[in-house]
Amino acid sequence: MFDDPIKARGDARGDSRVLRLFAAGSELPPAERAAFLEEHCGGDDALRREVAELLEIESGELGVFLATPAVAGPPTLGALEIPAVPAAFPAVPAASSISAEDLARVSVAPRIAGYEDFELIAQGGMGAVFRARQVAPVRRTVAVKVIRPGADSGALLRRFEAERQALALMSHPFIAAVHDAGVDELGRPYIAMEYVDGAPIHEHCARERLSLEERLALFLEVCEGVDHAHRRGVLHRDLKPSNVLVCRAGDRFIPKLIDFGIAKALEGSLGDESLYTLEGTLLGTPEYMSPERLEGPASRVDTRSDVYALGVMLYELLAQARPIAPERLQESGIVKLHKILIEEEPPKPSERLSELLATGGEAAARLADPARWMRRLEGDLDWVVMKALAKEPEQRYRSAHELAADIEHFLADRPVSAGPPSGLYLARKFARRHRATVIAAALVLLSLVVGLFGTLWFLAASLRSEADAKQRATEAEQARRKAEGSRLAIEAAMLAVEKPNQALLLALEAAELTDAAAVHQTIHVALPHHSQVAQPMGHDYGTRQALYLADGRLLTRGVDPFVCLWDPDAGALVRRFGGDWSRIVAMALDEAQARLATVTEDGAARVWNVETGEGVACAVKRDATATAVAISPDGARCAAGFADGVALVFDARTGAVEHELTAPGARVLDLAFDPSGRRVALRSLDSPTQIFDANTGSMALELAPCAGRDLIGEGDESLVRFSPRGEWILNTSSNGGRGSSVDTLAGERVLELAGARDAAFVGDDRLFFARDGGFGFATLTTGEVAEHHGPAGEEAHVLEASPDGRVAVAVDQRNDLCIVDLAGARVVRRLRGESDKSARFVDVAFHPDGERVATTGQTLRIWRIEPEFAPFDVPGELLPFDSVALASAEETLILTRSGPKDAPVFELWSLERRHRLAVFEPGLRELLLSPRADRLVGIERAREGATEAESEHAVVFDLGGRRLHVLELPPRMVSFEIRPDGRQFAVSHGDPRAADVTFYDLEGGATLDTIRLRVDLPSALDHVTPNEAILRREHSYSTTVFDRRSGELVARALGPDHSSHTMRALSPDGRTLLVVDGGLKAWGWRLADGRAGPDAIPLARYRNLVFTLDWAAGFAERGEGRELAWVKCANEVHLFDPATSTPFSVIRLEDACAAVALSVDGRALITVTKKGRCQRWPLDTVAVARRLAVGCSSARDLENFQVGTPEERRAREKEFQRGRLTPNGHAQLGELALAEGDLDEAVACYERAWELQPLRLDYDLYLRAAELLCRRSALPDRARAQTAVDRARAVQALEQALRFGATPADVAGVPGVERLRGEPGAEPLLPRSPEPSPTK
Amino acid sequence: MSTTDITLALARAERDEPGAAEQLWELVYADLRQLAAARLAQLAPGQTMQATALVHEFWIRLDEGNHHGWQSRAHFFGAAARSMRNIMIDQARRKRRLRRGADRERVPLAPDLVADPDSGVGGSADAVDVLALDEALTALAAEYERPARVMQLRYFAGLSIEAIAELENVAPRTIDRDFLFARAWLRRRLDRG
Repeated sequence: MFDDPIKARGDARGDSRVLRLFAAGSELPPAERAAFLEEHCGGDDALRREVAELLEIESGELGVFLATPAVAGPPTLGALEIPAVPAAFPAVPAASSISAEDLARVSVAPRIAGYEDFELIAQGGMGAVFRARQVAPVRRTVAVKVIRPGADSGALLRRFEAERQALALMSHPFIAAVHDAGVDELGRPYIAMEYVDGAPIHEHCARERLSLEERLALFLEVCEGVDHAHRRGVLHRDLKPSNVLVCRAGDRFIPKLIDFGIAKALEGSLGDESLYTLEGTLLGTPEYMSPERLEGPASRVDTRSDVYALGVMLYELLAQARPIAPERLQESGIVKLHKILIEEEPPKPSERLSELLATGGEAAARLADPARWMRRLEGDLDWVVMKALAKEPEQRYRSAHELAADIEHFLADRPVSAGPPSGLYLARKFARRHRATVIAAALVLLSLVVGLFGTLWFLAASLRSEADAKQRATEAEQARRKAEGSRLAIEAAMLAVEKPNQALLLALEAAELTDAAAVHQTIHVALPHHSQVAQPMGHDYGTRQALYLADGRLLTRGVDPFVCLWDPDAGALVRRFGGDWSRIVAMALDEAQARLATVTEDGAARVWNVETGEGVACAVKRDATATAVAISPDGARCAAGFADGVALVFDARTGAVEHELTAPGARVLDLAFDPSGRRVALRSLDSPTQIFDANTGSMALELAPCAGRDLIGEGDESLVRFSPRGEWILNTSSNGGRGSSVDTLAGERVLELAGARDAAFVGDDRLFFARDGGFGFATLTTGEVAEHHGPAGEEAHVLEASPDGRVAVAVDQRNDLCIVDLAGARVVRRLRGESDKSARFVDVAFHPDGERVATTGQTLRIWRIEPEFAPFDVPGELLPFDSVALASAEETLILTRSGPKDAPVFELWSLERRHRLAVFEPGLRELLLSPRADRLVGIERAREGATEAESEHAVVFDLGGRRLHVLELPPRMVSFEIRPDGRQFAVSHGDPRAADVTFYDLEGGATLDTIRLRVDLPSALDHVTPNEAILRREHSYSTTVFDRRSGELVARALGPDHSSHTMRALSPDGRTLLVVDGGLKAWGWRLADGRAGPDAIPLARYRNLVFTLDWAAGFAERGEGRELAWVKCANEVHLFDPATSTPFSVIRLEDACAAVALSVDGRALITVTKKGRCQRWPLDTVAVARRLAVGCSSARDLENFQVGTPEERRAREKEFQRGRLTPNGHAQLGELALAEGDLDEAVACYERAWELQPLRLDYDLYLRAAELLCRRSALPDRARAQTAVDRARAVQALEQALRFGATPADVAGVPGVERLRGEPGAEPLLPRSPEPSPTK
Repeated sequence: MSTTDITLALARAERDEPGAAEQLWELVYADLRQLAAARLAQLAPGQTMQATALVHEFWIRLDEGNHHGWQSRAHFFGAAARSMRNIMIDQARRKRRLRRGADRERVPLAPDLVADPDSGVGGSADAVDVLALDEALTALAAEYERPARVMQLRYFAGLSIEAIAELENVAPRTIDRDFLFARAWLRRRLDRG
């Protein structure tokens, strides 16, 4: 009986081919398996039959046969408090943030000089609107909008003031003019605007019973007004029917857009949530808000967001209803509403209308000829509306103008750009336009006899092209999915702070589309500065140029009339320069960063005081557009270049023009001052660069021409730059037309790089350039050029070196940011950009700290670029390691491997320097590394035949392996450790019932003191914490904490389910004790005042990760006083926030984790695997994962998020689809649904799980889902939800009863338990009913 | 204490000494039974004990102070899985005897440690005849050694796929396949004799 049937004897006689074929076959869908076997069995029928039989079982009757271990699942009693995670279900923001008092105050008519006769016409949470008469300076009727006074009405007003300049630009018959703004006597900001006596557009259309064509005509005018504003750089941001009033103008009706730009002015003072809180009031309903506006940072909002709102409006005008039925919106909470608006594709307008018509009533009554209306609406108009309503801004019309154009196409029976452009469609359109011609042509065609050959040829060609098209479509689809994945990942990263749930969903979705690593990386990259990214920074219509000031503030130039100065840490706009209504085309800063020079399209060059924002000087050349600007390093002189080939050099303090330089070419491309400020370089179109004497204005030098032509298109730059010491002059052209070249001041050409697109000085004589898809370096003094070629098709285009010259950033063709290590001349890291062409990076700027860069383009982004720590593998001949210890102070690693005859060999490695520091002679039994990594303590092996009472010796080493001291250790040593401060060595020894702890000084080797612990149970020293507490383990179920000075017992932590404590750690503040027990659970104990009886707080529970032999737990301080706790478990490190008991994140390693430590700078965790791979994990990433995980209710969700390659995930999904979902799978889906807030689904999943395999699951989550559902349900659904709760309660009670061995009588009292009668899991436990249950 | 013996046995097993694996298994088996009985005595009535936790706890005790090598772990868990299999078989035999004798009295040391094939509680949904399974598993081992070993570690010691992969020093994916194969193979064997 005792022989092991399964032993590694190697005499198994099974056919290994069976196993192999089975493995491969099981991956295939059942339908393909037969063919697979046919192909691979090579006529061996027996083999084929064997595998086929097994596969058949696998796909059919296998079910859950032997799928779960025979052993009982983890005990659930007393261990299953799921930490409450409020953020998972954000409460609907209370609308009560506006007090009644405020409301009352808001409706008080203001007193404003120059206005009288205020009459309240509307009122809402945001403020009130009055009709008033302006008496001075003009007499007219106006509408005065008074805004509720808030905490920062000053800031609001400043913002509005800034906005007003832009608003004043607009003068259009379809836009209500803004006359005035200010603060009234109550301190309320107000806006006075043109009074429009009209009705909202949808009311007007309904009242006048306008025909479809009339509506479209009116709507075209709305588009015209919006487009006018867009062209002047003003977004409406809050378009909705009530902001589009239709009034009479002479004998016709015209639309008037009101409240332009006001939303933007208001936005800063209201969080995103206010948009909902104030639903239905001044700030309008979310239904008109584009998905990107609902969920993203304001910086993503652009013209296409207004197009979306127009789309909703058009929908409403055409379909007689909004895309989403108002009943549904009212039913769902904010969260659900959000989801609907962001995710749900609305029905086409025609479908919606037909629904309405089918139900009869109002909609039908409003239409004169519903049938005709439907016919007109179907097809083109549907497509137009749906294109405007696309969830992705990229899929929408880019402007109101494009939308209008398509509507005009429709009205003129031309093909619209929206919708499937099939040949048939185009032909139909053509036919409708040219009816007569087409009929004639068709007759001619019919009269022709089409030859058979012709027909066949046509057929073949069309088939071929169909195949091509299919192939292309597949490729395009893959590319699209990938791009979409990156985009989602970035979006997820950007949302993670504000909307963790959504971010999690997005991240999961992204992981489906693209590889998980990229998701991880993107999140990693985009989030360290989430707080900034989330702020609305940057310019509408994109940001072109960015410059960091030395204090970290950021100057940006867009395509609008402003240069903005931002405080990126606060996400706040500090000030704006410009605003004279002409676009700023270039800017430059002097060396002291005190003066800013700008030039505008209309030919004005200005110098500004950066600190005060005042204009210092101005030089104007009215007859040409300005193209370039430079300011001398001392800020004394300024040079401005113009499109007519003239450059003005003027005094930067007075604006007085000193010289007028004439460029040889037609257009000045760039200007530069040398470091001394005495020379000006002038680069002009298709001409050699000239150097002028800035003092005299005379030309000093003309450089040799370059081959090729200057090409200028959108985004192309041809630059001229002096080297940092002014010895060299560099010319570049970003499209590679003329390549790059470097000359000396004597006009000698030292370097010519044909085709080099971009180049930058990265030192006095070193040049970093991009060419032929790679990067290169040139040393000018030696003329040496080294190039590194990248993958084909990759072209770097924007280069910038960090202030310390350590790294440079380039943007490659795929729009990834490449971080190039300048010393090693290699790309050390790639940060994923957006692949959307319109979102390309235009410029990059380094933060003075060298760790962040700002990128410009469609949006302004700030990235953290710290180079990735490349994994380091400790050389392989040392494998395998038995144990690994890691001290963080110097990132030093100690590795142990067994030597001959069990004599371990110890080695010391430095991770930072990546080499071996020391090898220790045999003779040590144990080697400890101090946490400060400056000392090592080795315990010598006892000599042969030593008795237990004999004392042992410890040797103190330095890192080089030199012996410093020998410590004589007390006899009967139980355990030992180096204290976390690294200065003392503690040994526990003696009789277990009266344990003594002796402390030694590691510096001098002296014995310090011995204390006796008051123990009543045998225990061993576990840990002496930094805060003078001693942790001991008693018998395996408890952990005790003693005072280091007195030896008194401070606290005892006892696990609730008698599972042994295998690892413990006390937080540095001594308040939290972390224990891992039985290999399955992590617990936290709060030690109130360090004394009171502890209550256990479950941190995490593991169901499958049970290989727990090397648990370790630690605490680490994070910035902001945050703590982080980790548990390593097989090949994972689980992180927790012990303060909130929330799971933080999971780091997955390639093999078993051997050691974890915090890095020296405290910003990363370092892990070492058993195989010796060392990796660094920035905590920023971890923090991101944590934020994403806030919506998760268990470590399992984290797993779902983190774990699995796309193939694995797909495999899982496939498994589900095949209908072979295991009960656990259902429960997992339930948990996920719960985390996502889809309670209906969660409850349904749990119910399915229960039906499949009763009493095997954690029904507390089921109950939780049901209870939440009940709480959330609208009244009519409450009863149904209550039923679910009763059922869940009964299930849970039954499950517990079973575990406790309760009798049927006990169970009978549980409410709702009767309803479970007949269900397989419940039957054995239920009290016998009077009549036997019919089902059994 | 017997942990010393186990340590010694482990070392010998590592050196592949003849008979060492058998001895190790016997020691582990004896100790595990003892430990299970002791734990059960401390548990509240009706509360079940996890085999997995039990095995792990046992190992942690064993490993305390001794830093057993990788090999040792593999040996240990192999032995532990086999032990659990035997404990279950014993239990199943006892139950069968009880049923034959129509004796409804509960045996004091009949821990609900393992699947009770009759109640369907604590085991897989479709009840498995442990004795038949044992037989089938032995047959599987004769033909396909690793799948059988994987099944034993998974089903009887409750080790996760990842943990087994670590022990076997192969990719989890391979273990997953082996496991699937073993299940299919055993199912066929049990169904068709």
